[in-house]
Amino acid sequence: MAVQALHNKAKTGETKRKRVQSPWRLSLQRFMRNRLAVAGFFTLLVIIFVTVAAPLFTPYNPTAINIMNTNLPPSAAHPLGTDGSGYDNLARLLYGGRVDLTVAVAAALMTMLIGVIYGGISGFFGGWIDNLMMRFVDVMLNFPFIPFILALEAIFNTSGELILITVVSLTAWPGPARFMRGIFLQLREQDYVLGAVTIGASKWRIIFRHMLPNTISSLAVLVSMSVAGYVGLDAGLTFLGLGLPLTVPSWGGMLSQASNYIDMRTEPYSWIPPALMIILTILSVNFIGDGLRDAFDPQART
Amino acid sequence: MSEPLLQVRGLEKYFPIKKGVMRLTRGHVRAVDGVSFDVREGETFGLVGESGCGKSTTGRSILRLIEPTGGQIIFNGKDVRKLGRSEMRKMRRDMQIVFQDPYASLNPRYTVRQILEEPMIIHGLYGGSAERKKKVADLLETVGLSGSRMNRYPHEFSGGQRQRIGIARALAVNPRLIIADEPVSALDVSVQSQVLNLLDDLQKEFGIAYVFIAHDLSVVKHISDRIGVMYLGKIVELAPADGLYSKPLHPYTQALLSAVPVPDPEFKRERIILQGDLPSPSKPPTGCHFHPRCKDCMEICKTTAPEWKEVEPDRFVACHLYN
Repeated sequence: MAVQALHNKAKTGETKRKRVQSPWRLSLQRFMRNRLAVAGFFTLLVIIFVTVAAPLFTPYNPTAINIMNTNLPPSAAHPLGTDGSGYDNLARLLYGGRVDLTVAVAAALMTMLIGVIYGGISGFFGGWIDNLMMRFVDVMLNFPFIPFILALEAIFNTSGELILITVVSLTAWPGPARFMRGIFLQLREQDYVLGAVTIGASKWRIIFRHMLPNTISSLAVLVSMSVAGYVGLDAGLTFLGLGLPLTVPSWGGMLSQASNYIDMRTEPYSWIPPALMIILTILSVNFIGDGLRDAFDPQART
Repeated sequence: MSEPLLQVRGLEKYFPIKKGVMRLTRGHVRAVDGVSFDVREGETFGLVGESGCGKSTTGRSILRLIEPTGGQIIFNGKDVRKLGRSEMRKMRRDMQIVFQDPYASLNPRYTVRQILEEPMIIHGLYGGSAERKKKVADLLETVGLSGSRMNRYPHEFSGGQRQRIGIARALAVNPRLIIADEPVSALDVSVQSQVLNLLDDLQKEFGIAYVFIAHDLSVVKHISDRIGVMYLGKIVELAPADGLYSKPLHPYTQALLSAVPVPDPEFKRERIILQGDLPSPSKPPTGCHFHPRCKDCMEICKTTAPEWKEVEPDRFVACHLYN
């Protein structure tokens, strides 16, 4: 019979390939082939390593001031000199990365979480629920950002890492929420989701087993892109004096402190390194994001 | 004759057209506009028509993948539209669907085994995991694939093989009716006949009834017992397959049939070329929906909609020529 013949053919084909190629493995292979993304990945690893292992590279405490040693030029003891309060610039740079990266990653994860839940509900249920939720997103998107942060900080009467994460998550979620809504709307009409409906799968099963796993690729891209955005945002806010207090070491804070005409000209060693770190981090995270997007692209064939 | 397995009565699906700031409903797209037909146990009912005539919407409405706006769907003596959620889930065991696009119909992050196991888990069939695994292998063998490939992902299979997996998923719950929504349109011609033969074999083996949706009359002829021809949301003619092909009654059916290629170079025949485009289902023509394109259009056709009449035993047509 024809069916039998086909069956035999399938069996002989079996011996050719042994390894099961899961979608994840294929994506990893594609990612590894993207040189820029891999370079970005390793740059980021190095940045994370030097900030986490900061004590190995500098003996100084980034929060200990030393008024005997203010505004020193680079020397063997202080490779990047010291600033006006006597902080060691290298220590500030290395420890500052911890703060910047933690805030950026935490804020990105928080906004994603809010975005997935909000956008997921909106996109999955559709109809008037969707309409209502999206109008609220429109309002939030049009909210003036900086006054909102000022107001939040005035309400909570403090500034610091936690408040910065909260503020960024509370203001930045509408973008991801709208994005995730689009993804869910699209997935809802996919044949395999309809197929799950016809075999009698419950709403939750469909959401958690069929839809969410298929949003992870988009999510990974979105998270990496927003980490890049938030590193810049944190630095920008701190530079404006709206982010972290200057006692907390951070890249934005270093820039802010060096941002007067004289220091900019005479002490390039105090602001070029943090600026470089910010740029390097943003670039490498962006490259990773690009790489992930291409790696997860279902149209791409190996 | 015994009670038909599926009775569709006056099925309607109107999509609202919303306009303006207030999103007020300013009319409807009548995708399915009063469709009635029966499907008997173990038979194949073909549903043909142009793109956008509502045949897929009809199929999906029967499964309530799209909630119909009117009419009755009586499956196995029960009105599907009146079922509660848990009853509906039980009912889904008996009604399955095979999709057109074999690349979109399988979850890319599931292995074939997970895809086929899922319906069994949901409906609590076949006790333990070992038993399910055996059943998965059986299913794959049934559709002509090797059971040893169950741990592979859909992207590792070809279009025809994926369609077989889609069919296996539908079979996993032992359904009595499968809605096949253009199951071969996306496949290569060489693979089409294999999949059609598979569907035919499965019907003989398990006695499954099909609603076979297609836009290609030659494909439908191959597999159907009875055929309904749809035009702009309505069935215009319904007849046994042989009768429809040997003596089409409705002018639209005649035009469709004249477009089917015949494998005989000497054969000359008069092609009926349809004039104009398919009208918008939001503003269907007055009277008979087909009159602006009909070669036999009469005055009455422009004003009065034709009645749905049984002109011969088991042959229905909606056309003023036969009133």
